[in-house]
Amino acid sequence: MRDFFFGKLTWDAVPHVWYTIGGTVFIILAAIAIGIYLTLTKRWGWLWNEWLTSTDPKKIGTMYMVFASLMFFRGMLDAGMVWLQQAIAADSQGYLTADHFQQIFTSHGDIMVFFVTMSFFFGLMNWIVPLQIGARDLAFPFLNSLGFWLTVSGGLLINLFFVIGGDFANTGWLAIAPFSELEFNPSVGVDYLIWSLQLSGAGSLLAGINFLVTIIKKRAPGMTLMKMPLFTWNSLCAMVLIISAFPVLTATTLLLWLDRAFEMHFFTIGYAGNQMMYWNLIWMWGHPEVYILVIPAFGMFSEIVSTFSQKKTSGYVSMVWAALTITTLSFLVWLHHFFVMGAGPNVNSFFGIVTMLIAIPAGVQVFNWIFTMYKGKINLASPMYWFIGFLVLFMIGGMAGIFMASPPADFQVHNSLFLVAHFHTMIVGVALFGIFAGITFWFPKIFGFKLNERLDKQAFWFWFAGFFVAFMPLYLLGFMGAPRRIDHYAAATGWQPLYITALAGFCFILCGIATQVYLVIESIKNRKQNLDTTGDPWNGRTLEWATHSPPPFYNFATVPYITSHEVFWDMKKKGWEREKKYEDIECFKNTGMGIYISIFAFLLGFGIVWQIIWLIVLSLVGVIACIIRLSFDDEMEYVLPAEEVAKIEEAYHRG
Amino acid sequence: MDKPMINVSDTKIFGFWVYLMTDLIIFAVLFACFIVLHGNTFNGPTAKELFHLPTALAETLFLLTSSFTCSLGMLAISRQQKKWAIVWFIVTFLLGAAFLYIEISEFSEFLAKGASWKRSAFLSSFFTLVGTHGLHISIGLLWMVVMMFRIALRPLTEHSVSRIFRMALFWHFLDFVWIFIFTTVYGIGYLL
Amino acid sequence: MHYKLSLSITGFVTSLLLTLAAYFIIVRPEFFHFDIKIAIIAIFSLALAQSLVQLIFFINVWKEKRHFWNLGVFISTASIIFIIVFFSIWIIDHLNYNMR
Repeated sequence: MRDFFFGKLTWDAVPHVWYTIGGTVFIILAAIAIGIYLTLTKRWGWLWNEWLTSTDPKKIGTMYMVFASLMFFRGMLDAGMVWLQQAIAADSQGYLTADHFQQIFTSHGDIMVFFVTMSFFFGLMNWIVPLQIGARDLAFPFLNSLGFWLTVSGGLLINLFFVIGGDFANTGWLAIAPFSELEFNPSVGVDYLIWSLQLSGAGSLLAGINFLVTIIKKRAPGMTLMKMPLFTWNSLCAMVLIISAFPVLTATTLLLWLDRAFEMHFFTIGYAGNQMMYWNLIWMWGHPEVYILVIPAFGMFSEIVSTFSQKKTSGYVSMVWAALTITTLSFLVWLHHFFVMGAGPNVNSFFGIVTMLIAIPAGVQVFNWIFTMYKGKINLASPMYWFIGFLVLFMIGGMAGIFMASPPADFQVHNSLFLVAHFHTMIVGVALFGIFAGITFWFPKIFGFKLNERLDKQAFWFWFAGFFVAFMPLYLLGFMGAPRRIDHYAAATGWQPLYITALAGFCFILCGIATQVYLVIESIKNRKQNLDTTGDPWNGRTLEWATHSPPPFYNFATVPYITSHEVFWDMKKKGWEREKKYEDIECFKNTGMGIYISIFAFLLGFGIVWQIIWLIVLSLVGVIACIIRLSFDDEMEYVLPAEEVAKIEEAYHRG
Repeated sequence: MDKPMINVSDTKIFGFWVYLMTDLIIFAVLFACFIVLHGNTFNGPTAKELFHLPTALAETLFLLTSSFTCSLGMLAISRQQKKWAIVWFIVTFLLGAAFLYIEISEFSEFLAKGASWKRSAFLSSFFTLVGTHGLHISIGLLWMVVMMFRIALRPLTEHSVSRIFRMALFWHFLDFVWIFIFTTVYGIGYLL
Repeated sequence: MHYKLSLSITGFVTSLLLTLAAYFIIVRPEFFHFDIKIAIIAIFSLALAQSLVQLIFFINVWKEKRHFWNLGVFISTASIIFIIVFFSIWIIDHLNYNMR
């Protein structure tokens, strides 16, 4: 009876260790503070109607950015704890137990990959892709909202262990089997990991389908594929990877969960399970995933370099082919993550060679960026700072990657700090720098005012210097034999000075983050001085700059006909006037259904983790009922009459 | 005579088509697992011992026929014949339910023999692959019922037809996947 | 391709024949003097043929211009599926052999 109501939940799940108590207190206080603020300023209705139920991709994009920033703080907290532990744990246990340390780096990885980087990119894509292709909205506005809220519910679930349960997975971010099986990990931590990944994976998949269909079907008339801006092209490639790879993640984590919940034997040690199959499958997803993280950044930098060099991107066609080649090859290299597992020389050579081949399209892109800058009128605004930092780090991290592409070299540094340094160089140097550059670049378009240039450049220097000081020691440590994920080590190894240097680098990065927080606050305070009145603060080249800043919710009053891949640049050269004839516009209504379904999905995840049968049944019924209710709702769209459009447009031109 | 009311390249249907592709990839992972693990019987029951091929053939024929009657239903929809559409979809539903009934009976029989998913990696992968397909069938049956209500209660506008078509597409793909389950699980599993 | 009764019936009858042929090979491979390997290749080819038949006659997607993206996405998915299944078998086979 007790089991029926509470599943595996017992009083042990209540926070009773310092970090779960701390986390719980923080979460509750933050929630109360937000609640008080909203009540005092009477903004609950505003929040619900203007933001939470919105299907406008600009609003959803902003919500993604806010969510990603919050999760970023959590991920950096985890990172800081790791650095601190490793700096002091020479010949001592440090301040963390081994198990706690393992939970920290596990959650650091999952949060940073799934909830920070992917959310930032979906945010930027939501903002900009519809504007770049001349579309008014994504192909499926409701699914856009649902995808976002599913991601949030996944983020809630991954943080919930602080409040209920106390244990997160200690298996590393990919929950390697058989360590993640019931035999070695009977507590709910791994289940929290699996189900938060399933929820956010579902959200990502929906967003991937949405953007793919939008880019293929909703381009403005005249925009053939080869006239699309490079950010849109790269987003398309990333979406192809999402729809190809995420189902593999869904299936594989499902199988792991089946092993745990139903005593199946896919990856267990006994009963003829095959643990190596787990690693094979999860990396089949894992490798395309890391390309999903970097390909959009390449696209963003292409836009930024051509805009701030006032020159057409060199070799547009070769850039498209490079992106497509990277996309294709990224699905053929996953075994390089486990060269050491013992597949033998034939298999290892094949994957090693294909891995090295990816350097070619990557090189094509780098040279094209440099050729774009050559003889251009370069404006070193802060996005260009991030670009140059990216270029340097991409070279270093890329070389480390090519080094490891050779199986015999990889045998020496596999799972050492060299590997850790490599992938952080790529994720921070490429993905994160791309995100920072993209935010600065497109901020005035979405919010109507520029960010403070000086502060952004300061933040860049903190990040860039900090990154070198934090991660170059890790490359050295890797070569010296330091493995990853160790919670303590012998002082005789001589590693501690390097770990301490890395910690100092982290402090620099912290200054960078503090500068960025200050940057946002300062820019919002001074927004009236930095207003973008023209809609084109950087002398841009692509279609998104042809709208107001911020754009009206329908983006374009009249959709232009596209004649080249740098539409706006050509429009400006030919002298361009806004169209005065307006038409009725079909718009999508706000809806709370995305939130309701995600709430049920969250409860479902929680019920599954704790094996509370009645909750599972109830939430499933809830999700299905919502979907059926939705299927009978034929009135999710409305028409905005042309007179209304005219009124909105006139108001923009007056003020 | 038959004006195509449904265009598979319409945005909504294309979006659903892309979703179906991702579903196929989930099945691909389950297939890969089954093929890799089909010999891992851990001295337990093997495919040859367990599988009753006439049963598998019966399931296959029921599902194949249901895919056929489903297209007859869509044909009726394209001719605006609500009554015939409902008739054919009811037949499809019954055939699909029969398929599910046979499958559940097969599972019960295995469980009664002690060949549960806990017995070996082979059985885990069998139950998961075939069971996932059965779960999709159940969802398809539920969807079919909801669509039959739509046909009865709402006019057959382009919007309605698009929704019904997506359900039919889902149903066709279920038989599409079953072809490979029949061949790989019952066929290759039995032969090897 | 418009919805035509003849398409559905053709698809149904062809699929039926392909299914029965595969069934017959599975239960009586010796009738055709097939050894196991050839039997497997045979039934797999029959499965591929039937899947194409169903794609064309039930799902009605083929070489029309408006189906370009549907076919394109389908072919790319088929390639991914091939990579997943084929490479898993190849890799795990090698791993099993070396790590036995």
